[in-house]
Amino acid sequence: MHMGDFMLSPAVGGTMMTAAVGTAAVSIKKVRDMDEKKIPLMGVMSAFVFAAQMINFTIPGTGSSGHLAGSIMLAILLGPYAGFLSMAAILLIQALFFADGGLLAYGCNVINMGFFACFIAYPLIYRTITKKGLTRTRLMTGSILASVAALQMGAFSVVIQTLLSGKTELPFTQFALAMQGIHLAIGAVEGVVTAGVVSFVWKVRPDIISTQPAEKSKQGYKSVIVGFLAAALLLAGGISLFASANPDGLEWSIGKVAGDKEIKGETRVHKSLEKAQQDIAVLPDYSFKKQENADEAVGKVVSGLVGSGITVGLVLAVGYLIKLIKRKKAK
Amino acid sequence: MTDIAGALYEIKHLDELSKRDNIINNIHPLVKLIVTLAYIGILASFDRYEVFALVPFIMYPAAVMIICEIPVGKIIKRVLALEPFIIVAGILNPILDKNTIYIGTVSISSGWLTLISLIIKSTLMVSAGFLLIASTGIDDIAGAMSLVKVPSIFVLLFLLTYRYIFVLMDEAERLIKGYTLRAPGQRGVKIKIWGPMIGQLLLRSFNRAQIIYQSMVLKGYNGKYSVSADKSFRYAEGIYLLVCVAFFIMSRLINIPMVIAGIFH
Repeated sequence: MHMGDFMLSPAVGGTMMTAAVGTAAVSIKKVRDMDEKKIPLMGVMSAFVFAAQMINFTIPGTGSSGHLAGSIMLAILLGPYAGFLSMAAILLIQALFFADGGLLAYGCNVINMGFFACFIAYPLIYRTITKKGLTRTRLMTGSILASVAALQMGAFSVVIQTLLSGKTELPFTQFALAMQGIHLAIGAVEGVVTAGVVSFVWKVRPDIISTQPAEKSKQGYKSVIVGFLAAALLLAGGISLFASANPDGLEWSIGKVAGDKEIKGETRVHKSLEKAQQDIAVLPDYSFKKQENADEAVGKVVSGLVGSGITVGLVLAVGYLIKLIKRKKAK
Repeated sequence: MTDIAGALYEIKHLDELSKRDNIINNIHPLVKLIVTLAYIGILASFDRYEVFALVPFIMYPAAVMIICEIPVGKIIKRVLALEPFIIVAGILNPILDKNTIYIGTVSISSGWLTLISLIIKSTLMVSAGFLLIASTGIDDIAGAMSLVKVPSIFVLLFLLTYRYIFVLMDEAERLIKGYTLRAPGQRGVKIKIWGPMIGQLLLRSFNRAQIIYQSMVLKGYNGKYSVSADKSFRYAEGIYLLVCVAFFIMSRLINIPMVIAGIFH
């Protein structure tokens, strides 16, 4: 579910980063109020999830294998705030060392994989099911349902962010169906593993599972949700501004999904969209506009290729020069 | 990243590269962080149909790789490993983008342009990310984070996670080795063992966390952790920042390959 930078526009990436930073700020405040003992524990637990992600499971009935993502497990073991922060640390290391998720996409990934698991699926599903006391069945159902829900929300969020960015052509319906479908399967596996681990630990060391941080107040969740909503509104506002200036994002993708027929419409939005599509789609600078300009277009493509070739050549030449100078200095 | 030993080696290797002595490695980590983010942000702001104007952006990763003597093959190998995902995300572009462009008499779907643009962009962005860590290292990145006022709890968490990844991945590797020796020829771990195996790892981690905490307290840990971040800015670093960002902005505003082609025309 890790998103790469190439899928995102700076507007979407930036707004999601703001949302992630906001959520992290609230979480840090909450964790600070807790025991300081937590922090080394959090570090070791994030490292544990990182290591656990490397273990491959055979998925019964298929030839394939999968691995754990671990955000629900972190929420269960550390509580939602510390769990969210741990996930954010894991994602940062993955982005830096493995390019698993980009830097611009970091906010998106933290929200998609941390926020929904820790602040929606965990409190609303897992906590509700296990509220009346822990039993093996409740632990199992809670973990599985929460994992499936968290992954579904995360996957849907990926679809929305991708479409708002408008960098790929993926049509909404098909993309959403594919994402939700595959993540239903992934969520089920994630849930079964989480349930297995949680019930194993509960059997062997019940203190770890049952001494999970007591829910302090509903207030905490509220402030997180409010912060997130504010960011979402900001996102909507930012995107619509961006879209009206340069309908490359939202309107464009909606237009794409709706199909060309419906776009040839009467409203202003449709008209501006139509114009934009003409402008964007046919490389205005390069005069691909009409077939009559075909020769000119060839000319532009050729000059583009030549120009690019020269640019790359220059880079290589400079590189070679530096190498030569270095070698001389070394002597 | 399924091969645990391989993954560990890769992490260590990137961090080691950053410890060598050269101009870029010695630049203030915050400057490098800003340059990398500016690079990725400006690349992301390009129109989906842009191809040629992206080419001058090769300059930055090329320069860093040359100056830092980072093996090009290493970075290319890592970028190639991610390329399939990018191609999957963009492979439908040529089919779904119904606009047609004409190059002479040949008509192609303009989706090909978006696909090529996507591949170039992502390759450049991913290399920039790798080069940041290969020229900066984890401690300096943490230092830069605390300079921009990222709360110390998060910086500490980030550093501790990084530190214990080595310990726990070692532990995980031993577990897996033990398992595979008893289950030769089997792909992955059977469903029955999922819970107990990861649970085992979890218990070991938990115990370790407690021991670590106790020894930290004995050494005077009181919830605070100091990160070396008091590196001061130098003139040269300001110039580096200015030159890089100015170059990115110029390349964003001017289609350099087209201009160059114009000169020779």
